[in-house]
Amino acid sequence: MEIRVVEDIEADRMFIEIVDDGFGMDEERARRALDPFFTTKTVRRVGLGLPLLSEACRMSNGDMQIQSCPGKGTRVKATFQHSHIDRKPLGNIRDTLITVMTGHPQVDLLYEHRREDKVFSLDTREVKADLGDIPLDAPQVVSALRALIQSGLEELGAS
Amino acid sequence: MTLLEAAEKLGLKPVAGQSRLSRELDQGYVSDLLSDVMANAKPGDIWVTLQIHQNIIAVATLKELAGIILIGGRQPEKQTLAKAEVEQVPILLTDLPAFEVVGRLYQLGITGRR
Amino acid sequence: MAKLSIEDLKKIKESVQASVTLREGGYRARVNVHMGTCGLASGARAIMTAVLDEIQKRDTKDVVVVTSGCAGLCNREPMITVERMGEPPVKYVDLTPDKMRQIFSEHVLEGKIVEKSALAIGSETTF
Repeated sequence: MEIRVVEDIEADRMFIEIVDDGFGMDEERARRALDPFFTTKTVRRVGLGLPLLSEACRMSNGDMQIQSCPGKGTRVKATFQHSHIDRKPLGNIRDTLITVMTGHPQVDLLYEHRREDKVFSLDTREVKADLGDIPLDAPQVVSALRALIQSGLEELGAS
Repeated sequence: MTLLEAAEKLGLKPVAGQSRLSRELDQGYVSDLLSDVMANAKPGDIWVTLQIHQNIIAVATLKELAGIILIGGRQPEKQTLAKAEVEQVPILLTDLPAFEVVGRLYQLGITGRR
Repeated sequence: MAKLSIEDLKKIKESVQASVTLREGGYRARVNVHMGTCGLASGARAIMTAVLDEIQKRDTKDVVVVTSGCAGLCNREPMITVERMGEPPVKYVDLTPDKMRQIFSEHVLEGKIVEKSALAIGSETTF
């Protein structure tokens, strides 16, 4: 899975791209994914993740596109006008990343955040290679990763 | 007081979800951030907002809200009305701003949480 | 590309060495933090941070934390399910980080269900 964030202050755009190599969706399903009453969950009739992101883009003069291919995966590209007064802040992306990494340690995650000309990136495949036998969700690893992400984002000016 | 009675007293115009207008009102919630409503609204609340996108219907059903009052003369999007009818979520329109509508609801005894 | 530093890795390897064999023996408990959109809106991520923090503070080596999607009870989020090995799973609702910490020390570690925060006690074990 890849999460890319790009803050292009000069062009006044912000992009968030989420790419996975999961099941993928055909065109019909990708279209329906934006309907808040479409979900593959069985416990609920409501699925709000993508509809809310799409609306957040629109409210800040941006847009959201879904590209998907059955058997290959999905790419969600969200764009925002960076300086728009209604653009929601990115929030605590550090803890969000830790949540994704520890909740699903078997999923390889690449996070790349560009802000103007600086970049912070973290690839759990490389982290796992460095750790050897030690699991990604071992507590000591989690706190080391948290600190690593925090300082990386601070250096970007993005935290 | 039912939603219908409150609507009549305040001049709110129901445009969807007619079958649920006889619902008793107790409390309300006002917010334009859907994440905030999802976190803090309670079942049975009447929701006052300026949001017109169909996501409001999804949130209203998820949180079992009594209905949605759209303020400032705003009109729901076509899809919003359609979904509101399917889900029977009452939508009521007013030209009043949120502060005024909430104040008048409060005078009728529909309060927030303390 | 950001990497864990040599010192970080050394410290981690030293402190984890002893527990690798324990993990192979199985887990004491599993905590599942529900992270549907409703859960996230209500603060599920802070619950996740709290349980990871407890594990780290107490140096617990045999509790696994997983995340899953919406459980269908959107008015009672944030929610978790705690399952101790061989015991029925317990759903906890309306959580705050403090309640999470209490559930961790009383139920996860010692098997004492925190009844005031519990919703339901399941009847089947899953691991």
